[in-house]
Amino acid sequence: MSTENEPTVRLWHGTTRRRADAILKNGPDPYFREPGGLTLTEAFSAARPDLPATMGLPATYAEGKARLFPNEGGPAILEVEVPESICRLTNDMGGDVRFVFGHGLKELLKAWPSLTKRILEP
Amino acid sequence: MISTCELPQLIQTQLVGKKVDLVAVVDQLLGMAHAAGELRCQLASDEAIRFEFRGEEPVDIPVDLAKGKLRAMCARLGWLCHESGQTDISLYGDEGTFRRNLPSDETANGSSFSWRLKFMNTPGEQYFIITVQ
Repeated sequence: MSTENEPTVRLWHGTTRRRADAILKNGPDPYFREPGGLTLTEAFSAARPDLPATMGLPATYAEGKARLFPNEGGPAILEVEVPESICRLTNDMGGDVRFVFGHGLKELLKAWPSLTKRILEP
Repeated sequence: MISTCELPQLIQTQLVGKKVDLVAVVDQLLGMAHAAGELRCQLASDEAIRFEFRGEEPVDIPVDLAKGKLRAMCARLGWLCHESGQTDISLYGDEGTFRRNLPSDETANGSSFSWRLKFMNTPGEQYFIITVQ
């Protein structure tokens, strides 16, 4: 799948600063387990900031995650520009984009090193 | 009032598949919960969601990407609490209340109804319980 020069979709993922730093560097980790957790994350969810929030704002998720894990550097938002062709592989749930294997995650991970991304303070 | 017998058709037409109108699905479920008094929802398997209305047998309905879609419904309900003024609610799991107009309800006359919500929305645990107040 060629994603060069195609339009992108801006996505925001609310999390802790430590996790945002790791995702920025290595891409989403579907095998990540939260401290104390037994279940793999399996997916990477993010919101389109250009659409109305129907399931919560990324900043709200970031603050909630930072409260749950107070030793992870506080809240942060990871912003990434994802090619439209990859976003179309995911399910459209009205502003929430969820990448899982078979639905865009493999393609997202492959493209990750070349994607434009940064960390925002909520 | 929306009948709980319409649940399988609602899920098949609006929650299964690639394009999901989550706001509409949750509003329809609220209508059914209002009729029954309470709705409990959890994963039945990786590919099915269990719906249990008060006084009725649980029903397992096949849904693609069931965990993700259940988590999205949990998040939507949590956000309704946030929009109803409970701004400190955790979208990863909490308890709260919210008000919402019932969809297509001829008896509602534009008035809103209150629900109590309890939910979990984490990688390891996903469920919600909505109860009419």
